[in-house]
Amino acid sequence: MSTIINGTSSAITFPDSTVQNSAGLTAGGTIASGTITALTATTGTVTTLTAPTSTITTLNAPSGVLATQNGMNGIASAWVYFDSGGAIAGTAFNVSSVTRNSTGVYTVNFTTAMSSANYAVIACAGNSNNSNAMVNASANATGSCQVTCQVGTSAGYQDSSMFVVVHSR
Amino acid sequence: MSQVIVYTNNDNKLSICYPTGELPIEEVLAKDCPAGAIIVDDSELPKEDFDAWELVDGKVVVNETKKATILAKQEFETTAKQSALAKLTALGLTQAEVTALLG
Repeated sequence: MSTIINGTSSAITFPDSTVQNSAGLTAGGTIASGTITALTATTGTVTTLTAPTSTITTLNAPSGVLATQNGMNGIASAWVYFDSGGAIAGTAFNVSSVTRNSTGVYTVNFTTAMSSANYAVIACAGNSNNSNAMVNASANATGSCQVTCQVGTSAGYQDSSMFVVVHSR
Repeated sequence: MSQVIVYTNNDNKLSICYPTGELPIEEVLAKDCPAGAIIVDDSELPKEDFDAWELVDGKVVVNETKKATILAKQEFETTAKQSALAKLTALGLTQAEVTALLG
């Protein structure tokens, strides 16, 4: 094995690690207090990147699941803010479209599907006129969820702008 | 002028699909909408009575019969609610109790 390092760095140590020309840097090594200016895996895969106290300023994922869906537990997997007609009123993330099926009944379609249908939906009505609105999230599928808005004990639904956030593993 | 996707859903109502822009509208059409859905300019959509909209020959129009039926149903529910309100109030229920029961 040979390792060639160009430049003026004073010390680079890969304890317990193996550097292979074909396989790259395998797990086991630790950069204790250094800085990785640019980590590029042009065609490779970073399976697990552990940085307990480090700061990753920009994690650039131009394609793949990270481009359209957060891959970190606890971070929202999708969100959208739409007006009472279903048109997008603000920004959206991992939402390809919103469908208004009837008054107060909307379907949120995800750009990248959730890994399972067992995800959490948080939704609320944004219309100040609907101070006693009941918002229900149902019909969860991996590719979409349905949210409805009901006012008071009325059997009918009522249009309202909606904020919808989805958390999923 | 933006474009939307419309189609008749399983409840025989019109669904209108608004793409967010994350995907081209043609991809949204294929991914999020059933066969028969079409792309239209949102400027061509009626402005009111959404539940009475229907798709006729590639255009979204208000079905006047459906609109009249919806209005009649709403009127009936309002009348029934007012009648119930009067009866409950006559029984001595407070406004808060009536609101809790009827909404």
